[in-house]
Formats: sequence, structure tokens, C-alpha cells
Amino acid sequence: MKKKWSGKSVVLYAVLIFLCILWIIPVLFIFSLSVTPETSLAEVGYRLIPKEFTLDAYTYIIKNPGQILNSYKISIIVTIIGTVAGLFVTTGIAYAMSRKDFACSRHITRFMTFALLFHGGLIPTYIVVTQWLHLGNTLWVLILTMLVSPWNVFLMRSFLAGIPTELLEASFIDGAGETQTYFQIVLPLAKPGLATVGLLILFGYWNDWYQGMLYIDDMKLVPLQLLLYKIISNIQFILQNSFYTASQSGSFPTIAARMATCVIAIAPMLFAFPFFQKYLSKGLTLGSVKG
Amino acid sequence: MKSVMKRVSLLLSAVMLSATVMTGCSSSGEVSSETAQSSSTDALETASSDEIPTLTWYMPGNPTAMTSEGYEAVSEELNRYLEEKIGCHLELKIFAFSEYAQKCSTVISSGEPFDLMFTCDWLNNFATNAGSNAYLPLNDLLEANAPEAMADIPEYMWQATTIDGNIYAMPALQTYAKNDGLFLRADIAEQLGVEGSSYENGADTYTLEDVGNMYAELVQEYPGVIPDDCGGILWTYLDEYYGFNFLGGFDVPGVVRFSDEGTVIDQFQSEEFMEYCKTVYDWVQKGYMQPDYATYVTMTDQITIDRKSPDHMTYRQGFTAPNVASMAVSDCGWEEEPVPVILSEKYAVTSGVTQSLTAVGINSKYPEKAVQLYNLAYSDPYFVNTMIYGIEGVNYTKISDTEVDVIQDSNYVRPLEPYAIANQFITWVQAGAYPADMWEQIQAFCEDATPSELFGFIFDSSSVKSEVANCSAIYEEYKYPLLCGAVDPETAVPELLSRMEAAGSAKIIEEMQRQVDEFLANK
Repeated sequence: MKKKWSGKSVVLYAVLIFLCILWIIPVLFIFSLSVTPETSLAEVGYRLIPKEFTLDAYTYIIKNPGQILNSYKISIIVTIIGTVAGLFVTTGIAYAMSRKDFACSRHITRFMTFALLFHGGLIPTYIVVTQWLHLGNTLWVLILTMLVSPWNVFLMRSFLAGIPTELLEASFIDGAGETQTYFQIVLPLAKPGLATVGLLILFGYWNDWYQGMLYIDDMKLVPLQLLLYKIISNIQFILQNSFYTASQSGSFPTIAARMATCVIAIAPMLFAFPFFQKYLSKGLTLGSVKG
Repeated sequence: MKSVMKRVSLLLSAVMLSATVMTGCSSSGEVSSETAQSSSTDALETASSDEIPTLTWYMPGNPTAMTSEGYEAVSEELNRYLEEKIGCHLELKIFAFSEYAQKCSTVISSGEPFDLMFTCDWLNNFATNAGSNAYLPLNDLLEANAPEAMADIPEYMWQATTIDGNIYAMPALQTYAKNDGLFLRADIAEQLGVEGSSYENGADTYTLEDVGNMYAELVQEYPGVIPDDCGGILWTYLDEYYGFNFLGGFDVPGVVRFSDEGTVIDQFQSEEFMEYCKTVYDWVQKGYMQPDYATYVTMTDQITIDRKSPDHMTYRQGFTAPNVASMAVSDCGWEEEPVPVILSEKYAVTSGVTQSLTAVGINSKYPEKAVQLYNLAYSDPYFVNTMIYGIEGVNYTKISDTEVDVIQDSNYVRPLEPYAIANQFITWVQAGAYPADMWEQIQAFCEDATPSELFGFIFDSSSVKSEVANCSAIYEEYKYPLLCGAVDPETAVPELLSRMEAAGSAKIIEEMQRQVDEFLANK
């Protein structure tokens, strides 16, 4: 059967391809800048396909590993522990909320709704974290402050609510306890949900720099995104305020080195995404085959 | 039934909300009493044991230029030295400029104790923080604990950090005099027959028109080349040229002329402002400046790259002093020292001092030690240069008495800015980048400046807060299009003026005039 290209689908594809290009070009630009020598930038300007090619920036990073590699390590540790722990706690809460036969489920829902709408505010949160919990300048602060997001809990709950109660009852009749049911029946069925929420948590942890900026002073514990923020925004700030900061100009990494750091920072996420994608597409179709 | 349930849950939410609000209040109250308690017990402990106190010092800089190992090694050396000198340890809290203000405001609002903190009028605002009781008044501490700083820092500089009779911060010695001008690449200056100015006050100055004529010649000679530097908004580089002393910042209406410092006028209504707008509009049209100057000024990376281009001809910074000439050489990669084209007299104004201050925290447990520490940074070259450059042989090699060679791939590569710490004039310079007697030159540069009559005056905007905020918002809106010559000033300036007027610019001027009168009467 020959596939027909209707006008509608051509337009649709065109729009999607256009959007794709819009998303991909900045990434390509970052990559091409990371392999362009500085001198060529001054001569011919920014180009998508560099006129000259060099891996100097990458060798610079590998040769001066200290801070960048250390931050990389911190980011990876925080992301892995955070994602596993966060997913575990989020799913636990969501499951409790989704069980209509659980007496407190409505209270928990109310509590989560409340947390969704209202915030402790920056300063009270800061006081609690640094002066009560004494978490300032520890690895834990990067993990715990972002552990549960009410939004993710609700997302997870809607996934779990799709699991028929009959299935749980059947499991209980067969002699499984609550724990066994949760781990052997509920979680395997919720894989698409776990993948979706897991990916969100993963990105949240990987991309976060704000918690680090608030709570981390020690360069040993600075995650990669915060390091990038410190490098790139600091250069911008200093140049824009050169009126005041006019002094001995410090040695900043070249544009290529900064872009190379960016490439290194996004690379793991580019690889993580396809891994989750398998489950994500299942998640999309989950609703349609139900009933 | 259902509606009853709904109401109940609504009520519940309301109760919960008010509960958290109240806990918020009570908890912050508890915190402060608790910290007070713990600090008093801490003080007792230190009194009883011989433990050496650790002081914290918040500073902006470039923390990515060091690793934690590098910092620890430097910190160990500093602590060893400090133990001997004043019996304390130091923990440097270095944050990137871009995150510094946010970090400090969080620390201040949470009541977390800190000992020393960099503050100024352009980052981590001094007047605001002093007004909200973040800093400790130092009047009684300075005499005994900072004799060197007290003796050397001129009296009028302390006035700039005094609010309502309380000295809230210690000024740093750095380039506190300012003038306007630009640098011309040496071969270009020769070709144009421009001899340049000397750094002496008011000697051989040029006018903006002269600069325009130079540019005209250059665009004719080199078609396609843009002669102006275009880094930063030109208006903010011409305050001394037009003879304005900006009392509330560039965004707030209200300046005095150096020729008549008793009368506050609205700079946006002045002839000079119109003249400036016309000039810059004309320059953009004629190709003296980037055709998209209004957006170009924000593209910092592009500016950095363009400055390195072989076609780049001029260089401009906040002031035109010998050290800026050295910066021009390194930023533009020029081989010869550029020629200064100075447009104005030199003035010493309040903002020249308030651009680098250090305050002691209100919750500091060791205020005496903190002031002593600052005094040491002010008077002891070894201490301050170790903070900046690290350890000899590891992070730098000493070339001469005042010059060092920084080891670029070490683990502590000058993460701090010398102008932010106490006394720039005793810091060493990087060999090659600056002449060995840089700070002597700068000191001479500052000394013959004309001090403003309103030196020490700080505009207190609290009674016209909303007017200032509104005018500032309007300025932000016009800043790029109008001040960078993208729109015709003949239509845009009156528009700006009528909007500023509606936003209450007259009220600001009136309040400023009242404060100026009061200041001059008390002098």
C-alpha cells in the first residue's frame, strides 16, 4: 500500500520539522562554537559550520580537570541518589493518595494541594535549612531540598489511579500483603509513570543550580550547573558593569572553553533521554487502550 | 451534604494557611532569640577556652578560578599568619559577582551572623542594607582597632559611609577619582595627528565634537570600519564631561552641576541631555557606532571578540586612567600603549568611594577582631596579597617588590579583585599587564582631582520610593533605544520627559534639593 501524503500531514510535518530545527540549532551552535578557535571568531564571526576546527577547548578541560570534573562528579552523585530517592518517595505518597480505601488518602491529598499552592518563602526556608537542620554546605542539601515536588506527586497519582482496584483485590485474595502488592503489582504496572516522573526528577536535579547557589559555599560541593552559572554569568556581569569593575581583567575561560563545558554538561542528558523514551511512548498510549 | 464537606475542607485549608503564616512569624522570632542565646553561650565558651575564633568575610570575585584544595592551602597560610598577628582565623566566602547580591540578601534577611561583607552602591547595596540594620555602627570601634586605616583614609571619605551620624562601613582606597574619555590605538592617533591628553587634572582636554571629527576622518579612511568602542552606554561615560554629579544614579532624575552644587536639576530636561541624544543618534546614522548599538551593548561576548579584531580602534571604560590604558592593551591585544583622549576634569565624588566598602555584620560575634582584620588588610601587603594571589612558588612567582607572575594553571588563580579589599594601593600587580609603579600613578591620578562640594552626600530615597521606582522603570525602557541612538530624539525626548513628569520626577527633585540644602547647611 502506497502511503499518501495528504496536504494536512505535509503541513503537520513541515511545522514539526521547523520546530525541530528551532530546538536543534542552538545546541548545534554551542557545539560548533566549542570547536572554533577564538581567532577565527574575531575574523569571520559566529558560524554554524566552523571554518577552522580545533579540539583545544576539550583538551583544555581534560588537562585542567580539577574543578570541572569534580563538579561533574557531584552532579552525577546528586542526580542518581536524588532521582532514586525522589522517585521512591514520590511514588509512595502518590500511591497512598490513589488508594480510595485508605482512610487518610484525602487528608494527604489536601496536604499536597496545599503544598502545591503555598510556599514557605525563600528566607524562612533558608533559615530552616541552614539554622535548624544545619544542612548548609553538605551534599544532602542538594538532594533533600528537591526530593518531593507536589506537582510530580499529582502526576504520579494520576498514573497510579489508572490501575484497576480489582487488580489489587485479586492480589490480596491471592495472599499478597500490602508491601508485596506495591512492589510486585503496582510498580511494574506503573512503569510509564515512573519513567515520566523519573525523567522530570532527573532533569530537575541535573539542571538545578539555584539550591547550590543558596546553600553551597564550598567549591568542593559545587554542582556542574552552578559552576557553569558562576563562570558564564560572572563574565557577563563583569563586562556589563565594567564601569565599576574596571580593574585588572581576570583570566576567564575562552568562549570555546565555556561552550565545551556546556556540551559536556548536556551530554549525559542526551543519552538519558532515549533510555526513558521507550517507556514514555508507552505512557502516551496507556490512556487510549484502557477500557 | 457535599457542599458542607466542601466548606469544611475550605475552612481547613484556610486554617492551615493561617497556621503556617503564624508559624512563619513565631519561628523567625524564635530563631533570633535562639541565635542570640547561642551566640552568648558561644561568647562564654570562647572566653573560657583558648579557642581561636573564625571570622567570615563575604566577597565577590571569581570562585571558579580556584579549587577547594587551592583555597584550603591558602586558607591555612592565612590562618597561620593571622593567628600570630591578631589571633583569629579567616573563612573567605567568595561568590561570583552575578550571585553575590542574592546570596548576601539571603544571609542578611535570615539573620545569619557574618563578620565582614563587601558592600557598595552597585552590588549588595550599601545604603539599603545599612538602612535595614544589617551593619554594625563602627564609631566606637575604629579608633582603637583600625589606627592605620583611620590615619590614612581622608576624613571626607568616612563621610561617604556615614548615615545619621553612624559609620556603617569602611571605605577602600582604590581609584576614587573619575574623568571621562577614551583611548585611541597608537598608530591611529598618529595617523590622525592626535597628541592625546596628559593625566593631569583638566590638562589638554578634548570635546565630544573633536571625537566626532576624528571618527569622521576614520570612517572616510577605512570604509566599513566602526571607530567607536561601543562597549557600554555612552551617556554613562559622559557625566563628568557634561559636568553632572549624579546624586541618585543614572536612572533617577536629579543631578547637580559641578559648577553650582547647590541647585538640583533634572538631567533629562537639560540641554546637555538633548545634545547627547542628538549626537549619539547622529553617530549611529553616520556609522561611527554599531548600526544596532542599542542591542549591541548588551552582547558582552561579541564586544569581547570585537575588541580583539585588528580593525578595533578605540577603547573606553568608566574612567580614563593609566591602569585603563593597560587594560586596553590586554583586552584589545594592542602592541603599543594607546593614546588617552580625555574629555573632562577629574572629580572625586561620593560614588567614587561608595563603589568599594566593607561593613561589619550586626550579628558579628567578634566586631573588634573584624575591624582589626580589615585594618590588617589595609596595612599589611603580605596578608592582602596572599588573599589575592595565594602562595608564593605555588600560585605565583615574585618578580619584583610590586610585581608577580601568576601561574595560570595552578589551583588558586587570583579569585579576588584587589579593588574590593581595603587598599588597592598596596596590592601587587601582574607583571607585564601593568607597570610596576601602577598604584603610585593611580594615587597621583586621584590626588589632584577636584573634590565635589557634596562629597559624602548620599540621597535617601525612602520618602519618594514609588516615584523613584517609576522613573527608574521609565529610564530602563528608554535606556537602550534613546540613549543608544536607535530612535529620533526630537520625538522621543519630549515623550520621555512627559512620562517622567507624570511619574513624579518633580517630587524627587524637590526632595533631593531639600536634602542637599540640609547637607550643605550642616557642613
